[in-house]
This record gives sequence, structure tokens and C-alpha cells, in this order.
Amino acid sequence: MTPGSLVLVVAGGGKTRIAVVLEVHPSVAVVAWVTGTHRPSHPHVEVDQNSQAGKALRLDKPRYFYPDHIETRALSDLQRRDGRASPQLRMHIAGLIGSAPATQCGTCRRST
Amino acid sequence: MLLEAETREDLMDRIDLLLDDPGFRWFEISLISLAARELDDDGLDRMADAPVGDVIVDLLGPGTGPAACETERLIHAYAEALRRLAPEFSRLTPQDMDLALNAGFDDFATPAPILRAVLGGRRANASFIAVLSAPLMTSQVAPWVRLALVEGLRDGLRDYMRLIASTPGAGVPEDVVPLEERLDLEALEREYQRNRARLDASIAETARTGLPSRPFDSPST
Repeated sequence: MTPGSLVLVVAGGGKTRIAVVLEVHPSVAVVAWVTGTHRPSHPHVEVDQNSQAGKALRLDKPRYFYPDHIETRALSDLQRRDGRASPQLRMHIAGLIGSAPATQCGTCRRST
Repeated sequence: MLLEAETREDLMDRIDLLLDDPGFRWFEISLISLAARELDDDGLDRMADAPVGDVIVDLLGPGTGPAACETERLIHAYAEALRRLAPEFSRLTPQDMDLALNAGFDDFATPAPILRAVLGGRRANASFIAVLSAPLMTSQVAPWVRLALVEGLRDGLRDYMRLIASTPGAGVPEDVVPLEERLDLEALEREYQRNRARLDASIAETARTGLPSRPFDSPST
């Protein structure tokens, strides 16, 4: 498992979510998981299912990353799945936690 | 692979996929090592001092004209900046280069503007290699692919040059990278330290308890 790997995590409510691995440590990983719930007034990255990022995540509809869905998880909580998140998507997720201006591109969108 | 793209979006997607390929990373390191050796041989002096001409147009054809001209201007400014920064650059080892190419993407605390610049530089590397190889397959490379490669090279260089121009001593002219487009590296360093502290606290908590933790659940202070 390396940064950019895709995993499944059990998130709030017991739902299994697709997540992007952002950092890997000896017993813990930093991940960001997606949800189908759109909260337009919150900072988020939107991933369209038809974009390269959406295809890599094998989405069937638009999904969203939020800063409060970035978590540290025990490695034993993570279930590996095929595919990788592009450096561009990881850059946009990083934009959620800092002061970077909003970005927009063909594969995913960040809104504030 | 890049030269066989079917649409512009497909080309950009192929470039981004290539960046995650270990073989391509090795190729980039080789390319940078070559450039570092050229520094010792005054190669960058020759590159920076050469007149801005039609090198890319000669390689890819007249349809790439305006984008090619701006790209060459950026390449010259980049070479000039590297010449000024040469003492630092020539000391880099292949291991340093490997870290530099990927460090930001292995460390989630890295602010997005730095990642954008690094990503731009790597996209420019991929586009540049494709530009150099295009003449070998001239008959098969569609005109739009040639133009898209040059524009990809230009756009990647623009993003990367924002970082280079912000480096003390680089001496990049304002007509290449305006002051308002440069990065505030000291502010980004502070942002990095804040992000790192939050991440490290959450990592330590999860390692101790085995439970999930949310480092960015509340606004940064």
C-alpha cells in the first residue's frame, strides 16, 4: 500500500466507503473517503463518475471529498482494492486543508 | 502511449497515469541527472544563452507556433534560473531527485500550491519527452496531438516556474512569472508545519487507541 492506493473503509453509520490513501505509516494510514452526500456550502472536491478520477474510483454517480472525512486509520481497518488515485486528485484533496485557491479541472472540482 | 491519444482529455489523462509509473520516474531521474551533469559542462549556459528560436516548431511543425514560442521562452528562463541555482542543483544525488519528484505526494501535509508546481513540472517532463519523440513518428502524430503536447509542456512549465521563481536567487524576470503569481514560501512552510502537527497528533492517537481520528475536523487556527 502506498499513497494513491485505493481502499475500502467502514465509515460512520456502518457504510463501506471508497477511500484514497494519502500517507502510510507503520501501523496507521491517512485516508480520505468519499460520500454521495453533497454539502454545497462546505469545502469539497467533487468527482464526476465520467472523469478519469471517477473511473479510477469506479464511481456510479458524483461523489464528494470533505476535510472532515480525512481520517487516520489503523492499517487493519483497511481493505485493499484495485486502482489508484491520480496525483491530480490527491493535489485537490490536499487543497481542502489549506489556503489554496479553488481549482477546477476536467477530472475533479474543488469548491469552497 | 501519449502519441496515440484519441482526444485532448485522453492525452492529459494518459500523462497523469504515466506519472505514477515507476519506469517513468526512473526515466525522469535519468533526465535530471543528465541535466545536472550538463551544469558542470556549461550546458545550461549554452541553453540559456541561445536565442529563442523555432526549435519546437522545427520538431513539431508550424501549427504549434504561438504556444511553442512561449514554451521556449519558459525553457530559457528555467535554464537561466538553474544556472543561477547551479551550486545547489549540481549537489543533488539520484536519491535526492527521487525524493523531490515524489516527496510532496508522499506527505499529505504539503500545501496544494507546492503539489501543483511539482505536478506541473512532472507533466512538463512527460510532455517534453513526447515532444522529443514525436518527430520519430511524424506521419502518425495528429496535428492536434502535437499542439496539445506543446500546450501541456507550456502549462506544466508555467506551474513549475511559479515555484522556481519564488526561490531566492533564481532571478526569474517578472515578465515570465509576475510577482503576484509567485508563491509565499515562508507562509507555505508555516502551513506545512500546522498541517504536519495535526496529522502527527492524529497518527499518534490512532496508533495508541486503534480508533479513527480526524485531524481536520475543525478549522485550522
